[in-house]
Amino acid sequence: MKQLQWMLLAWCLPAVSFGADVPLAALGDLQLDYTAVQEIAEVPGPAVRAQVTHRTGSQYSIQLPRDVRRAHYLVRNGGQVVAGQPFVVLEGPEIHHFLLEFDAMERRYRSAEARYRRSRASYEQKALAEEQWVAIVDNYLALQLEYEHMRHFMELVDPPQDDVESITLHAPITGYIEFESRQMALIEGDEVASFLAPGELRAQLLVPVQDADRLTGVQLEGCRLDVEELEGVARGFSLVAWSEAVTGACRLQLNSVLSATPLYRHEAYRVPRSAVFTWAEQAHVLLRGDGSLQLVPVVLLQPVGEDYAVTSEIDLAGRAVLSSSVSAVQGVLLGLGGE
Amino acid sequence: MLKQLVRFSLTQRLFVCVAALALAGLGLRAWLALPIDAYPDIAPTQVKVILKVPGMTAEEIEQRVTYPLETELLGIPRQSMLRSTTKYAITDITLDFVDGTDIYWARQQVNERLAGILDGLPFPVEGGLAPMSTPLSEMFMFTIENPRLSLQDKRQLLEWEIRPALRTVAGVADVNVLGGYARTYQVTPHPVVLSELGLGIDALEASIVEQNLNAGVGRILLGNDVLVVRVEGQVHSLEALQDIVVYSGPAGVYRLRDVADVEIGHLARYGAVTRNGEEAVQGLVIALRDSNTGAVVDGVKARLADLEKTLPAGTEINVFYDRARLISTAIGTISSALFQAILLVVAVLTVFLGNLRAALVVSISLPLAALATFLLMSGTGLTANLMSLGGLVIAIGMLVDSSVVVVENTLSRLDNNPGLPRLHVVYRAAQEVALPVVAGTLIVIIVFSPLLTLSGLEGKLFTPVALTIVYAMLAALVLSLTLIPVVASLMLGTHKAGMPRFMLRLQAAYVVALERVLRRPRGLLLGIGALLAVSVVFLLLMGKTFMPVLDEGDLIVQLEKSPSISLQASVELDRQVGAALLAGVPEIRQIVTRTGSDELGLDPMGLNETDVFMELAPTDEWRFASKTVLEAAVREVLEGFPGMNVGFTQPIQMRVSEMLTGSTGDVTVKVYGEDLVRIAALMHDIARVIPRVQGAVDVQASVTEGGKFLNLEVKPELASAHGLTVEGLSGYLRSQIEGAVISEVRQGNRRIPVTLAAGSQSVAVPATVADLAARSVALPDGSLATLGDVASLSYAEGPLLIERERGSRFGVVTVNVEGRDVVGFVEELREVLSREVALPAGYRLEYGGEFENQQRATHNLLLVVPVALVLILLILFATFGSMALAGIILGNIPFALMGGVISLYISGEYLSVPASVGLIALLGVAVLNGVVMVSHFQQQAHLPGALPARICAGASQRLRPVLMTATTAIFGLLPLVFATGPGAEVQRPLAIVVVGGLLTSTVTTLFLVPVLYQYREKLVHG
Repeated sequence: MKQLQWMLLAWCLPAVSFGADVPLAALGDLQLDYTAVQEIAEVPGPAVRAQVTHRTGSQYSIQLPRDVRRAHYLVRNGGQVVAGQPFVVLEGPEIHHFLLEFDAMERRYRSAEARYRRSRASYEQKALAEEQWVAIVDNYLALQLEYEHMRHFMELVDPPQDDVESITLHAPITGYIEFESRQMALIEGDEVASFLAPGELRAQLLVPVQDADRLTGVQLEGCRLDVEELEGVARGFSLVAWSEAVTGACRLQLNSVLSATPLYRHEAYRVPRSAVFTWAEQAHVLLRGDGSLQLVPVVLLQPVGEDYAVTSEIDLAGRAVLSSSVSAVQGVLLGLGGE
Repeated sequence: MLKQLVRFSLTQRLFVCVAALALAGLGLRAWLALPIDAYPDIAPTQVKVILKVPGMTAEEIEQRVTYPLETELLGIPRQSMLRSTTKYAITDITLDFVDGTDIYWARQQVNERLAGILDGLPFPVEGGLAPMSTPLSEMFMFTIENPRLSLQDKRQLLEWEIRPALRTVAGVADVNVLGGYARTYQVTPHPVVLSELGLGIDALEASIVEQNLNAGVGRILLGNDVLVVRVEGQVHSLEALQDIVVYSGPAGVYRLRDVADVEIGHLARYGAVTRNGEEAVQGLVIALRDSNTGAVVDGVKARLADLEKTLPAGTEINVFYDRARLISTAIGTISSALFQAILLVVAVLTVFLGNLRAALVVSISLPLAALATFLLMSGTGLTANLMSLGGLVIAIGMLVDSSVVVVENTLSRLDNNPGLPRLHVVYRAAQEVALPVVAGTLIVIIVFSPLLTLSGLEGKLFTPVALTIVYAMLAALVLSLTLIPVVASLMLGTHKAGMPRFMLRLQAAYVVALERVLRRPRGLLLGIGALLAVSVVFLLLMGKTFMPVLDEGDLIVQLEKSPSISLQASVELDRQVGAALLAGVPEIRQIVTRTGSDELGLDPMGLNETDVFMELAPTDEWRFASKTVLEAAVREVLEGFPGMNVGFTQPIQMRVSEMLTGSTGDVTVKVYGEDLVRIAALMHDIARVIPRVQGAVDVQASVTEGGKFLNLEVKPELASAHGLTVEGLSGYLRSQIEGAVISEVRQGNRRIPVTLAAGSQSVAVPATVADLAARSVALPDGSLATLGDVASLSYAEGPLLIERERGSRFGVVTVNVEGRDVVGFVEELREVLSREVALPAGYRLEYGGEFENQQRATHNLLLVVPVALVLILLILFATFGSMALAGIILGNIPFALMGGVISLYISGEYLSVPASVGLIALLGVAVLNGVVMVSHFQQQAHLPGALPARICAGASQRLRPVLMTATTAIFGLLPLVFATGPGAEVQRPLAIVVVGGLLTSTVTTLFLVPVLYQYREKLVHG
């Protein structure tokens, strides 16, 4: 029996060198386990940098109209708020000044508006000189602009209570709130908070330029997101890709920087690592045939868990590949053993 | 002077008796204290340098480390061989020095040159001089067994509890740790986080190294006291390591745990061990050179017994190799043969002398001569081993000769002079034979002196044999002239002893036969001539080998698998092979496989190489009659596992082969040249041709080629823009792929390395080339790129293994020889290879292995034995004053040798060095018997009567001494001929030769010598 085995080997070795079969009978008592090959459509790549953020301009930002002494935020930074929900109490004498200013502005605006209406009739009747009318209109429009600006802010202010030194702002939209929590001073023009609609939170990825065109999705903290857009301008060695909006199922923190697994489009197969070996300078697997093992060259793509993603010119889906004693078969191919 | 010695002994009998008792006591003490080993110390003065260069390929190490180091080391004087083996990440350089070189001087020389080279290397190199051991120092092996402990725990236990304890045992050089996982605290940085913080790997490493230390500051004065000040930062736990602050800045305070996974990991594995199919951890005790193996093993066992009580519950030390077992079995075999020989010799003496008292008097010399030999061995640094004790067994038959002569003469004198005082008769009898006794002993010593001139391995093996024989013979000589006369004067009676009846009948028959032969000698001459011709034919047909293989009781199968195999796949195949062997061969008690390199690097095997160590059950439990059949059964099981080269050896045999040739196998063919690819091709051709030579088994061409490397070439234009250097990139990648040790955490006596390495999760380690190319690299300027962006990746082929000897590269093809002699095999192999394999210019073949020793030994003996014969001739000439008579005695030698050759051929043994020693011993016996016979003829020459009658009378009177000499020697060696235990195989050919030779030698002494003497007398006197 053993002699027969070696005879078989001697017979098959020259043929094997050209990529043919290894007879099972020549493999003696080696333990031969097989694994069915699975077809996969996506192949994970090495981790890349990702940030949970939003596209430029998609935020609703609120600036401070005046300097304030203190801001007491009522919600968690990065938390979700609903439209109309109080989110900050601004305190300080400036608030009182601001309210007075708004009140004064309103009165000035109303006065300017009344004057404008009155003057308009006079102007239409040619009772008002052209220069005077232009000055009245300019004054009216400037006050209107200023007033509307303040009024828009005041729309976010809950009606002031007795305390005239504080105001409470409420959220303009439903979404995520973000504010600068470590700001030392609150200066006029600074952002009090910005609001991001839920549909605007997404992952920004930096992916290698050469692989970017096959990027289909990203795996983030156990959550899979499709990639929606790939920017056309490279940043150094990478391209920016945007995922779809983060859904509620994904528990991702706004602005967090994460290591993400990009998913690339590939029509590939998943085979155990123990099934792959190198022969004639190329990765191969051994496909089970009738009474023999067929050497099939494969291209290794990436590791997938404990397996490899590979491509092959042969349809491997559902076929059985040898997943044990592969190195011994490799030794047989190299002519080791036997005398 | 001899007379004075005898007189002094007989006048100071009490003193002599007390001196004999003292000798017995001292001899006994020496025997108990003698270092015991299986073999004499056969290792040359050898210094080994082991250097580990993590991550470097064989070719690169050869060029950057091995070659410059070899160039430096080649300048050291008194070296006989410089050999190196370079593999991935390790180089192993061995220097052999000429015999007699002081090992400490040699180590100092190597160390000085090593330090000069290592200091100038621009990359980290670990290691240095290997422990001061010999290739045979691996004397005790065990595995740690405890189902509740992980492999890492077991390794910790071995490394930090057992190893330090065993290293304190006297004679232990080191304890090699194999298998399992060496625990580390593994830091796996998050490149994204580091990039966000603008931290590079170097900065992270520096943070860890600079904070994990204690620093001394100095002392301050406190009044009249001083207070030592120090800065303490050393961490002692994983948690403390995780808490090291590595960044403090605008982004906040970041600890190591924030920027990296810090967990328990393990060092990159270069080898593994399995026991009965399960991964295991193995300890291997290495003895110091010149230590007492028996004592060291006893010490190790005692320390382990103490330790076992303190180890975690359920921990067992499973010993699977204990050199002491082999030693005790082998020495037991020889000791038993020695004891039986003494009994047989005493019985023979009793029978021949026909006087129990006389036999007892002679027998006293046996134990005392043996004890005196032990005392001399102890004084001259010889150990008790198979060879030295074998020498004693060989000498047993000859030891009694001088005492027999003294006692026999004393008996004769007492018979003939009943009226004289007994003491006076004894004195006269002893002093009469003193000179011939001394001359006879001198002849035996001269006969064995050629063995003292052997060099190399055979010299180391057989010098103890010769020395022991010389010591024993000298001791027996002194005893025969001192104690024996004293005891004879006390024990022998004055009544007529007479000759035993059977001896008288033998004498009568002998006289009749001799008369007939003297009348018609032609028949005898033709018969002996024919026998001589037959023995010459047998000698030519007989196989030749160096030494019979000692059955060590264990078996090792060496497996060689695909060169690119991973450790995991290699271990999986070992598991399969082990399970099949255990199931198929129940004689195997347990199997321990060892794959890859050991911790110390003493035996840097590749991941594709495995030693399968089989502990065998006692032979009485076997289904097979011999180990050869058992090996066949193992071979049959292994044939079921194709794709692996298989070789058979034994623990000591393997190391001896490696010591001799740098590789294992009965015969090695080395291909020297420069181009490794061409060397590999030639090796392949040779390996293909060798099986055509009859007897070739286990042909293995060492796999030197087949290394596949992934070359990364930094893109210089990008690299420079981002501050990336080759060194920086390789350091970064080493931490990602192999792991780099950057610091250590001390926990009590344990030191746990801190490594920068890819994490334990498989995704952390690059698994394909595409994966590696797409890996993010944190560039020194803080930006991120993939490896493929900053470096081009390409495949390259290169050597896996580079072996060099005296500065030249070579490759080895090894082959074992089965069913025929090694020397004949090599001769045929040379012829076949010279015909079949064409060597390009600059390439040459060299044949090595044990047969070299056989050839060298034969060559040496052929030079020295004639010199010894000339010396004997001179002694004989001085004794007889006649060259013709001396020639007659020497002429007896070939006829003695023919019996040895014929018996060796019939027994199926090969002509080995032990057999050659047997032939030398025969030479001595033949000469001694010839002297006994011829000297008596000469003494009878003045008597009246016809020449044939005088010859017959003289010969018949010498019949008893001749037969006694022969039979005591034969019976002294018979136990060795029939001994079956391990250890007997080495001395058996010798015993067979001597026994066979004594048979023919006795016949020729009794018949041929008288015939030749008659011719000579007729020629001289007409």
